[in-house]
Amino acid sequence: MESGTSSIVMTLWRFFCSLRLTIFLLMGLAAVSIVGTLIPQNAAQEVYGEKYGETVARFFHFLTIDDMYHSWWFYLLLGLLTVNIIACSLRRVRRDWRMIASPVTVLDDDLESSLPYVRAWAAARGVKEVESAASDLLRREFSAPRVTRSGEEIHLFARKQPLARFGVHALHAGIVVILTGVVIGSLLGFTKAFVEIEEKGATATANSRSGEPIGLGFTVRCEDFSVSYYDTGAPKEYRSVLSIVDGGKTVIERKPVLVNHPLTYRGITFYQSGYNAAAFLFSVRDRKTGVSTRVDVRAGEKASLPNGDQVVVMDSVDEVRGHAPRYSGPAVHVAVLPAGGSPESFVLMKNHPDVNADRGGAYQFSYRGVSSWNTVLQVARDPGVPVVWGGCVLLVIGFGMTFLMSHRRIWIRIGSGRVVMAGCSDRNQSAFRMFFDELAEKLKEVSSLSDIT
Amino acid sequence: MPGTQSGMLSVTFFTATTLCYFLAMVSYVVHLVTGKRPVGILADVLAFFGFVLHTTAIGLRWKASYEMGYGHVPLSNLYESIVFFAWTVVLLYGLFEVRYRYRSVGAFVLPVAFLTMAFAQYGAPLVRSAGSLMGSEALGNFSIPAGIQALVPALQSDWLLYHVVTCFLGYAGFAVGAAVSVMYLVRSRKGTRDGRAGGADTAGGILSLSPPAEVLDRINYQAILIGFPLLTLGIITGAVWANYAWGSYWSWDPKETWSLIVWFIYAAFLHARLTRGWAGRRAAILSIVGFCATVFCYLGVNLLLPGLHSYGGG
Repeated sequence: MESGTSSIVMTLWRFFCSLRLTIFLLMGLAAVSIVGTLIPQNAAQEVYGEKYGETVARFFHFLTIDDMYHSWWFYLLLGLLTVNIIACSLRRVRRDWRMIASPVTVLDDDLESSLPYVRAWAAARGVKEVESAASDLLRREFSAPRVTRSGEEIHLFARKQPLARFGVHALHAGIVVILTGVVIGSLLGFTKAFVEIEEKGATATANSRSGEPIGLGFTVRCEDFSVSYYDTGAPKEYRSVLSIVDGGKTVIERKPVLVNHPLTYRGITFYQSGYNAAAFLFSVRDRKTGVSTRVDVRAGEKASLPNGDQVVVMDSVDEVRGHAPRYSGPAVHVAVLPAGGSPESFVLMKNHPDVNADRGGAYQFSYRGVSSWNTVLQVARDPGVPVVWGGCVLLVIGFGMTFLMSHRRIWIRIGSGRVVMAGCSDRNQSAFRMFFDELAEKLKEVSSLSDIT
Repeated sequence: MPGTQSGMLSVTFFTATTLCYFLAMVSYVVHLVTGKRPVGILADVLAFFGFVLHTTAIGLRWKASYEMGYGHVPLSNLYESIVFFAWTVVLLYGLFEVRYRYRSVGAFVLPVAFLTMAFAQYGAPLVRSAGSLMGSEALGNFSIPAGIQALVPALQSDWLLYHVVTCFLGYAGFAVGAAVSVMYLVRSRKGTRDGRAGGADTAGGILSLSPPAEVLDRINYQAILIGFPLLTLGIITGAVWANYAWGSYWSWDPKETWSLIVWFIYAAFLHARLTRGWAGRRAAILSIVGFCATVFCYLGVNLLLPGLHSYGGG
């Protein structure tokens, strides 16, 4: 029984340690991710029915292909990859650690035949003299050597940047940490919620994408909202000035929030996402009496005019130039609903009061612009974010180590009458080969060695 | 069209750059076929001169944006990104040529630079006609506005520079790797299975000067070793910026997803090389597949799939 379990464990271990599994998982994740960009994600059920037919649509829903990046099998693939990374790393870490903590310092024949760079000479001078010259040379040009005596021979061993071998482990650890951060965030946080606050308004609840309310635990107040435009009419900058009231105290006072400049309080972050108009200001002039009145029309609501007619704003733009290049400035599409008559709809432009001045029935309308804005802020909490950034830093350090450092080793065996130098490097062979050849020439010179003919 | 003097000048310089790259491309091909050294030197000079013109043009455009009142790094729309991509390809090619000294590789890499620049200037009408033939509305309305535009608020961030530069340097590495892989496949088809037909040419007159297959394989590997960490940095800077601007460092937006797909493919490539049997032909094919995915990530996503990056596409 015991051998049975242990052989299952061994098989599993070998399975997860294999590089073929890595390649399979990476290509599998790539293929599966491609499918997710071609099939709409998180769309309404009807969309799939229309596009692919009812049976296929039900099949997609059953396999969560309509939200595949959050499906159980996508997480399974990622989980398998994580286990694969950890297994491969553990196996290699042991070997790398042993190589660094207890390096082979004696250059025997087996080791010599396994190394890619080897040079041998005949020595005229004594072993002690050669040893001291070679040690000095290594100390100067490479690194201070360890000296080992084995029988009649002296072995010198020097190395550089042994920790380079851990670069690849830092890299992989970074990936595992990132994935951990992703899991923490998805379990403990929320994203893609939003609040819409009118100027001078406040709220203590955010709305998730699916419409559920999320209590913030404090109140956010929008003191002011402003938007500025380029001379082309495109928005240049829009900002909300927010205050936060927590437990009756104003903890944050008048902090500006812009796109790319969010505000964080108690782990919840507010991002300037967009804006829309809450109320529109008109000046209406009675055509008969000439008396002008100001009328404030709230978005989506009908407003009453002094004579009982109603007016509603159906659509508005900040800059009408995109629709009607000859005109500029804010514009609204209004509908006037006379008390006893047929409705008429027309466009009014703030900068061009003459346009459609004859419409509107009993009143002459003049559009003054937006009187109150709604700011739309995206709200999110993600406690996994610092973990993800930590993983990214580890990943970048790992890349740096792997590409900029290399583990190089040099052995010199000094016997009576014969000297052998051998070396290896874990990467950048051409640079190391050049260095090795130059070092060999210098060693030959300082120790008065001669080539073996 | 850019209205200031620097702006007009930059347009002239871009056109001159395209011409230079065309002449360099032709010279490299002639050099590859005939083996005449002076032609190769001429090609180098033309490519280098083109690169200087190119850098100046980008600098002038940068200056022009300040003169127009909306100063920003010239990396904010499709036109600027296409032109910058061509610049990174030539830069990376230059570094490889200095390191390996194989001019014949230019015959395969300069076409990428030239075609990219030509696409920036003249590609839109072609795509539009293709679009109306295929009945695709997105392609039928395709345009590459070359004017210097003010940055919408979402793009007003330093991260624009870091994210775009790292991504494009990554793409450039993959482009060089793919170009060299094409060379490898052409060469190895005429020789033995893995192209070891001998260093001197048994592959026929046209490739009389191309480097041996093993060198091409190594250049491919080195190029991807440069591109992959840069792409990783590109994805990371993109995620940091997205977190700042949109409250979420990863939304499975098609552009984000495709950059991850490209990352998976090249990660598979690097791991496959550790297994025996994945050098040579298979590596060359995977490198080309990866670059196709890269091109789709860069352009296809903007054109064919909706998402957060659509305004960045111009």
